[in-house]
Amino acid sequence: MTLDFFIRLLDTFGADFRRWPEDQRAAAQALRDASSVAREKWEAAQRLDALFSLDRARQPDAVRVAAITNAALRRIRNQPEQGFDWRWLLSRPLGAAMATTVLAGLAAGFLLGPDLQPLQERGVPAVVLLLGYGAPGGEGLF
Amino acid sequence: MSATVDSDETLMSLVAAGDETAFRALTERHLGRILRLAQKMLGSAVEADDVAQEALLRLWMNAARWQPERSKLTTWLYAIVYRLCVDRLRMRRGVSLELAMEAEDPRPDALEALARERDLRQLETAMATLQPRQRAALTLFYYEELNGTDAAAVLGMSLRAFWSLLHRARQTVQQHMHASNTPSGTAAQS
Repeated sequence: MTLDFFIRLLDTFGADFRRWPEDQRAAAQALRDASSVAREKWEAAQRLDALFSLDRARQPDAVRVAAITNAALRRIRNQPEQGFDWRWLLSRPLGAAMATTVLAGLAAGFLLGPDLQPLQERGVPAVVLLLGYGAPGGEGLF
Repeated sequence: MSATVDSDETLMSLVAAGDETAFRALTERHLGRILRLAQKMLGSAVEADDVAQEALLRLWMNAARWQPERSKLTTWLYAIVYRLCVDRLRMRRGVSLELAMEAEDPRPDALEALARERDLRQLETAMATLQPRQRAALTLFYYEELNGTDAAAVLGMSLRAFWSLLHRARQTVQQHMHASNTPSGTAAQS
């Protein structure tokens, strides 16, 4: 491992070799032990890591946590009851368009289609009427 | 319900059914990390509190939509918090992050504590100079100890891009800290 590569990895993953890619750890440790420059860089990285840990250890106090939770719960309780939420359709525009087309087609078919009553009176099953009669030339079947 | 030992999955299914006790248990478990990411990104405790509250509201409203087989709850929450923070930062575009930084309560006046506070303040200042994505990368990797894959998923980027972002972020912080600790940098700070 070259010193430049060592420094690059150090500047990404920090001084804790457990965070490093597994296949680089042994070479990195060997370089740190052999090179004074590598060791110096590693110690500087360790100081920054220690600061991150120190900062990380600062926990929000219980009063703050309780205040946020209670405020969130108040908002939840005050929310109006939601009916059906149509907004999800906006995230699926293609599906919504296809569903609308199908529904519009069905509606148009029922409103504008021919009267099937005479054929039903002749004993033609409803399924045949539905599948066959509406197709081009379907009238000829009967 | 034994809230302290219940898994996130169990608690989330209870929350989806409207169980406030489960919600409180989840909050107790995750609010610390939500706040940490928000505060690191926004540099303001007040705004972090607002974001945390909003994130909790979304957790409640979308509990039924969370899919444990697709992402861990923490990853899902971090992604929500990250997006909320980015939205806030967009709204306050033009306002310096330095101005948004808030003074924190002083710690006990022992010398060691003062030195530690000074170091932490330097770190905060260094973090404030980063781009929001860089701040998020550092926080997720070093503070929240997410692995690269999960952190990259939260930020919506490839793993390779994440490593590169993390490298630049850490380098910038290091340079800033170094400059602060040199005599001229220290003088400029005081």
